[in-house]
Amino acid sequence: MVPLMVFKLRLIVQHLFFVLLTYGGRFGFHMGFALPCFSCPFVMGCGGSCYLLSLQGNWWGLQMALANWSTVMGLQALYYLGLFVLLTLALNKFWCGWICPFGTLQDWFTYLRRRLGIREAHLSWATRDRLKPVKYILLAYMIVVPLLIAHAGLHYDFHLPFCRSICPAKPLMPLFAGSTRHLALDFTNTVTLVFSILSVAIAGGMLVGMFFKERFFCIFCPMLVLIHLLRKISPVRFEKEVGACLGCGNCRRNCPMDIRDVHEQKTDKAVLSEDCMLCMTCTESCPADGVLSVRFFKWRLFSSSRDYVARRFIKPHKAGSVKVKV
Amino acid sequence: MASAVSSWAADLVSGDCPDVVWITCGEQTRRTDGSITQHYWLRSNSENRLQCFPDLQWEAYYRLTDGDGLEEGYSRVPLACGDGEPHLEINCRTNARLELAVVGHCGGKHYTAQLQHALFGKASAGKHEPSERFGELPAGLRRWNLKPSRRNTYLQTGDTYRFTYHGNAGSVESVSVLEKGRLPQDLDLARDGILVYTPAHDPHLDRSSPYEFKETVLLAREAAEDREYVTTFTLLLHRSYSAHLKRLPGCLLLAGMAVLAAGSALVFKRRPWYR
Repeated sequence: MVPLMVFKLRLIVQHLFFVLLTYGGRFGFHMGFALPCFSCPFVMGCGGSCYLLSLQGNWWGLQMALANWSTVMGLQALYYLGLFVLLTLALNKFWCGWICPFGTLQDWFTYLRRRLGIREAHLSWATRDRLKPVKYILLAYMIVVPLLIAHAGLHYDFHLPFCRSICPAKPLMPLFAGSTRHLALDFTNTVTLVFSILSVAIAGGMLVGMFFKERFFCIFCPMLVLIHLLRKISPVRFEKEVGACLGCGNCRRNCPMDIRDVHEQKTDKAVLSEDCMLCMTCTESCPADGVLSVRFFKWRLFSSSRDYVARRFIKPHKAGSVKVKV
Repeated sequence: MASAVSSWAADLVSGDCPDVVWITCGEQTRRTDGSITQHYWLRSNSENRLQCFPDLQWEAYYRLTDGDGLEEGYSRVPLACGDGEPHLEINCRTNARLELAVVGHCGGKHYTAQLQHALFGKASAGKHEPSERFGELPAGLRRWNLKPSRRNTYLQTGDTYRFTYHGNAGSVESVSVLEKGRLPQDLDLARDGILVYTPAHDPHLDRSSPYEFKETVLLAREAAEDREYVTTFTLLLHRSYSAHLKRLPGCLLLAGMAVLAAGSALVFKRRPWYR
């Protein structure tokens, strides 16, 4: 029996979770309000809600009255935080590469681009480095603005600042539930109008970005930062046997996030970098046995091997020749 | 709001009995167990209101309908006298819709004041246990019935609401809407007791928080068999969630940005975009 290839397994898991998280609520399935992925709560009947919504909401609610920490409201906020930490520890970046519905949507755009034979846009390393702080700025934005609402009298229409003015999932994901409501501009007042213009304009730009560049939004995703904070205590490990690395550079070339760290790491065993989404494409393309491996505690989930690369990328074509997938 | 309504209603005072009585929302406090206590005040144009209407016999009924849609019977809640005005408070442990009715009479006048809105209790467990179960509202009570919206939690400006008047619609002398800063607006009640009302948008509400609301009172006066029935329904109106949403400009902006971004990507490409 031919073993299931990792990329195929990932494809199955991604689509299963896309359906569950987009439509699950309609069938009574809901994974809670602290998911470490972009499962948009603005999708009617969704099967779970992104933690960033709770984070922005809780900050506002709790800062209104610090005494709330000892009440049910405070416990609820702590519950969401605890659940988020637990879920993140359990699966770490698997949430991004295997579960996130918005990530799956981006992968569809990539698939479409490849089918059309269009090249992927290339961002220079300098550009990548310049864009790195953006996700931290967005994280600060979604924490500071609720504090300003609570303490500085900022208008309440600034609430959920990230969801309502930045996140492209809000206008785009509800389309899968048949709702165009979040594509509309909100003329209620100046704040709502500016937020809705920003939201729709960013979504328009992101649509194109996601088409030309694989996982384009993940470059800016603040959830990656939050998940990365917990990497050291998570049982999910991504390791490299640095001494056995052939230095072929396959990992760097195949990485959808253009991560160099795995290839360039020469000393440290842990190579789970901030932008990594554990899609395991690098591990799949590494031709050296056991150099790259993904572990859960001491158990090895998957590790690189020459045989796997041969099965994945080199297919028998005719007798005496091989066809290499490029 | 209450004072504004009082100011016009003061012109309508007749005799010792209040001309109009309505419910107004007071302070909301959250308890440490997560439940909320909502205060309500009974307001009128009467000069006697500071003495809590000593001549009136008031009874207050309420019903909380939780998220499961299980409607319990009406319960009684006592009216207290605070700061010289009659008021009552209702504790709610879970998310629920409250229907409140205060009933009283004075001389030949019969009053019904109603209010209906959502309460958001966040108690971890347990449901509200009313002190006294009552069952249904008194038979023959003049009242408004508003079917709750399935789409929206709050009543909103710009939405159309369909009220049913329970009473003798043929004897209704007038139906009007009392609103802050506006003259009373007369409405037409159909012979079958149906009233369709669309509250106008309010620029002040649109500029304020989505949780802000204004109180608008729906008033019906019915005269039958030497009795006068004064029935009010207080609408807590929030700003509209959907009336100001414009999809076409949004879709055009989305498409425009996509074209702009695609154009930029092609113009600034550093290698051929097609394989």
